[in-house]
Amino acid sequence: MTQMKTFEAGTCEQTCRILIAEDEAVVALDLQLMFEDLGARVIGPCATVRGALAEAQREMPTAAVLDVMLADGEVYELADLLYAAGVTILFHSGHADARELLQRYPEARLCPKPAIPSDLESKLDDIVRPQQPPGA
Amino acid sequence: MQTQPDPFYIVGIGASAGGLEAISELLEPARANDPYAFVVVQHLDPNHDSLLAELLDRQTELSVRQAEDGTVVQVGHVYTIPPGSGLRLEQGVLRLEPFEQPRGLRRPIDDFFESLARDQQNRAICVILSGTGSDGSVGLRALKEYGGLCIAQDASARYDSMPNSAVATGLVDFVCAPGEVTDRIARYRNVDPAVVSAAEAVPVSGTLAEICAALRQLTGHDFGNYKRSTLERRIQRRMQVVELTDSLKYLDKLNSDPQEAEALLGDLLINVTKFFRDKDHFNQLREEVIAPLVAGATADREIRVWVPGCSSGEEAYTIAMLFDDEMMRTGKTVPVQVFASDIDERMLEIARAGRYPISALLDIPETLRDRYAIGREGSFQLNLRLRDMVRFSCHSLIKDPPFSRMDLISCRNLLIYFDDKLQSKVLPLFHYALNSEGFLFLGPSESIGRVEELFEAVSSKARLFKSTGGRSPYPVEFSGSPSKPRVSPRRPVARLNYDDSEWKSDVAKNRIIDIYAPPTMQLGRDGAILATTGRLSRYIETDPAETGQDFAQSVARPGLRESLSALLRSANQDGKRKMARDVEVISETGRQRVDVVADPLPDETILVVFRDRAPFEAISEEEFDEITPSESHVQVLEAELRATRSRLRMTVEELETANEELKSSNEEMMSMNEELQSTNEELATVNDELKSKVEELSQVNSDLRNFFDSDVNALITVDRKRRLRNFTEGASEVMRLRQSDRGRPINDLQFNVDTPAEIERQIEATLSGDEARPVQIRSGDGAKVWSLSATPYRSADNKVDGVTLIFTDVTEAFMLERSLAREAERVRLAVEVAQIGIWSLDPASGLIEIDERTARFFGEESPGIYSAETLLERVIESDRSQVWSAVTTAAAGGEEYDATFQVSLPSGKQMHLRGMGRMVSEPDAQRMIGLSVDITSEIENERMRELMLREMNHRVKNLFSIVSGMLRIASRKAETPRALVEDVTQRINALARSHDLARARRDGAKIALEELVRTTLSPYQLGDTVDIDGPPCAVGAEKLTSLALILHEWSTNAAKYGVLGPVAGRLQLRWSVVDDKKVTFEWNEIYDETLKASSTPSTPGFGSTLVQISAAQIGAEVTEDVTETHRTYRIAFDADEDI
Repeated sequence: MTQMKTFEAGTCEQTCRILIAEDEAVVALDLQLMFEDLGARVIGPCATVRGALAEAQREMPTAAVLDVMLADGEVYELADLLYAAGVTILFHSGHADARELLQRYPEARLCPKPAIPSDLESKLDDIVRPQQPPGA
Repeated sequence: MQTQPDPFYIVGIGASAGGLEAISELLEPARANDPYAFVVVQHLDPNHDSLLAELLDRQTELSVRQAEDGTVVQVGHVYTIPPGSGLRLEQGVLRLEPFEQPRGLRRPIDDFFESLARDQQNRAICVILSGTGSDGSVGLRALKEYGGLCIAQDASARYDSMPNSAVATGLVDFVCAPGEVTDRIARYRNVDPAVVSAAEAVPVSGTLAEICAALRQLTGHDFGNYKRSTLERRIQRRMQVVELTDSLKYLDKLNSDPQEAEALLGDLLINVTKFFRDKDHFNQLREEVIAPLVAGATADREIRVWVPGCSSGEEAYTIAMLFDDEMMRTGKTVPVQVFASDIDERMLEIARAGRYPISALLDIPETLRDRYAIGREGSFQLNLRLRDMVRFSCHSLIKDPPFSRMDLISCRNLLIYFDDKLQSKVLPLFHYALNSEGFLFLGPSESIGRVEELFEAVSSKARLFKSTGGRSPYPVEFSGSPSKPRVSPRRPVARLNYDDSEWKSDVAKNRIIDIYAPPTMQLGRDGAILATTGRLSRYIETDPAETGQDFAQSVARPGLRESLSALLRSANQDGKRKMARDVEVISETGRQRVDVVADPLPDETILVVFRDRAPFEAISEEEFDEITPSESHVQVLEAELRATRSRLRMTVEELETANEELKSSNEEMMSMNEELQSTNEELATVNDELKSKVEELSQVNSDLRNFFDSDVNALITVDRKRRLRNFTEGASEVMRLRQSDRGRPINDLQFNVDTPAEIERQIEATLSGDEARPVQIRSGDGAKVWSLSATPYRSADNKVDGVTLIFTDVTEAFMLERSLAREAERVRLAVEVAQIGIWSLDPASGLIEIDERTARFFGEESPGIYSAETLLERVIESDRSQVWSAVTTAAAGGEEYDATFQVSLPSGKQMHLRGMGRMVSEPDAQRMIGLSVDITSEIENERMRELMLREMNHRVKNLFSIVSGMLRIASRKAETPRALVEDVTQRINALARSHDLARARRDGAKIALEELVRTTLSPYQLGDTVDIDGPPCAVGAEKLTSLALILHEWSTNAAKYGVLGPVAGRLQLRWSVVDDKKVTFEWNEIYDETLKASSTPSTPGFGSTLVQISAAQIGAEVTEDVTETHRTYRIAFDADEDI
């Protein structure tokens, strides 16, 4: 319940903006809830690359959780843009080739679907926390 | 004569009737490694093939074959004469030559023996076996002349005429049974000086003198003065015949065995002579001697010629021919007498017969040939006229007194056998025998030597000499006393044996006699003039009527004639010298007074010497008249005598003529007989062969009978009139046949076949000369199938005389063929269905034959033969080497070829192919047979499957993520674990149902919205209260999960709080499609009664959050309108294309 409160309070809404690109509604909702629990603001979730690009152009996130295969195709155009902007990327994907991704985006992180909840949580925590102000 | 020692002897075998058996016997003990070759000469019918070689081959281990022209005679082989040809040996090579004589006159054995003798000389051997006639006997002589060996069959011969004739020549060395011949030859060869080592042999040279002495002792003939080399060689050969190498032993044998002396004598006397030997010399003889002699001759004086050492008479006949021809030319007839003498009675027999081998005919100039030669069987005979011109007598030049008053002596090639001493004795003897104008004709290598004063050369080149005139004294016996031979001589001594004369062959004495001695006559006891000397013309005259020998009484001139008769009579009676004094001899020109002395000599001749008492007085006519009457009485008597003689001569001539006719009839009979004999011989030979043929024929006949009796072959023969001629047992399957059916028309017979008409068609076609093709015919019940082929039945003269029908049972083959065809059809179908291409590669040439499908696979337009390389180029580069190495491995006998590869065709088409192949051995070559299959679709399918698997994997993982997410989300608000489980399970089920929808459809297809709605509501009882209505509308798969979740949320909510649950009311589900683009869906719960506000949650909970997010995922908008009387959700989203 405390987490829920944090979500409601929106403490780091201004500092942590997480873009979620995920075409499975349930998964997207799950991720959204988890980030909001961690106090980050979620952009999206977007089911399409097109939608996510539009969101990113409107407001550049600080980090992003990307499914590789979205409703309208593969996510690389978006990933390239974000990577170039220095956004922390966590690939959350069921079929992506880990090696290929790491070759293209050496700094990105990986979390294969289906993720073990604790593992996913700790990874989400990792990408949220550095953006938190020291006082929060 | 001695040739280079050849390694083997060539044995000529002459045989005729009954010869086959004898030849077989002869060859049976012969071994292939013996150093002999055999050549068999027979009398063969030229119109029949000879089976001789074939028949003999079975009898001997030697290889037998029929001679061909050019066959090289090899040791250990037997060659037979082919029919219709003569056989000749030339430098060890057999030559065939056409016969020059008509059948019946041919003497192939003689011909071959002669060539054998010439070619092989002392290595020639001849064997004469059973046969009629006398072929071989002439050739035998030639063989002996050249130093060969002669063997004849003994009494074992079935027909003994041929061997007997050979033996009669006296030249045969051995007479034995055929089986012993090879042994004889072996023994002869064992003492061949060329084979025997020098140590064993004692040469003849050392004992020659002794042998000659022995021979003289035994036969009376002295060879002491003959040439050594010739003697030695001939004695050596004789030793070989009696198997001796030691000449001392031979001498013993000579002394102990009288037969041997005969045999040796025979061998020593063999010499070579021929007609017109040295033709040029004879031409010169004719020009210089014969022509003048004939020209100068008178009818009352015969021309006398002597041919000493005449052997078989050729030389004597040659001279007789020349004289006769010259007379013919000049048209002048003069008596010519040729005396020919020799000591070899056997040769004289040949000479008297005047019969010579046909080959000798060529020596006689063509013009003379026709005139004097009469063709006989294999030989020719000189005609009677010529034979009568020549008188043959046995006479030794050395031993017997010479002939005299010769016009010509021809002694050719005799002196060469004599040594110098003997020659110098013989030549004066010739001088003595010649008239003062006489000629001497010698052989080309002979000369008059040291007695030049007796002869002058007429032509030294032609060895023609003329007597220098005068007369040599009667020569004394030169070779010592004429010791009587121990062995009976060949002939009785017919002549008077003259004793030694005082006169020596001394020039001075001759001179005295010729010039200073008184005219003298030597007379026989009967008054015949044997010799004269001095000028006798005053005392004797020549009587023109007298042609015979002159008698002194008849030629004496008047006056002398009376006294001489009395004087001779008186001298003969008393054996003392008598003298008639003062006899007046009257001649045409005058008278002469003379004393006549008759002196009987010890050799029973009388010497008559005339001593003139007064000078010759010429007489006058008157005186002549006076004389005549006184002589008339004797004259009349003598005239009567002459007339009587003349009549006698006429009678004798008539008798002779009759005799002549008889003789010529006899000749004809003989020649007919000979022809008959030769025909008989051929018949006997043919008979032998026919016997063998009959044997073979009965063998063939028995084969044929077995063939006809066998039931394996079905064969029917039909004659020209379509009547059954014959059939085999096997034919009874085709038609019911009994032996009695033979001769019945074929149409009357019942064939057990389905198409009898076909048989008739075949018969007609074949009879009309067409080539009928084999057809298949089935038996009536169809159980059997025959292949029927009809061939013309040809008679012996090759005319079509019927038809042979051959039924070959091909049932099995037919069945096999049918099942093969079915099998092939199945395979073809399988190949067709499976789309298999077939090819065949010849690894050696690198050519590949492909069918149409393979051609298509490799982008070629048509099936055919291509270079494997061309096809390989169609294989994409990355596969090429792997394919080629698989092919070459398989071709080399390694693993079978099996490769999968991709081809890139010129059309741009890409295909995946699989090729398989293996080597098969065909009779002519090794080939690789293989097939190609298009596996493009399989490969594509596999790729698709992989793609789908990956997709499925993705979805499953996604589902897990969703489930895991739902679980986590639900856990946020669940009050109890049961509620959590309930909640999550329902959602999972909803997802599962929607997933079912997706799965039930083919990939990518759309799902109808109504179906989705109904599926989502399926857990609930849908009664009248639920109203679902809307146009057909498709939902894409990507929207499925979201829509299903949304509908699920709404229905669970309704079940918990609304019309599907506790609240009574209706549920209205409506949707519409606007412009085919936008779908608007409305979920409308209409309550029956107004609800309290609290009973329905209005705050956004987890469910509505899920709905919002889900809607957002598919880009839809959701609106909610909740009142006390109804609850309405609307959702609008982009339409998918129609179902």
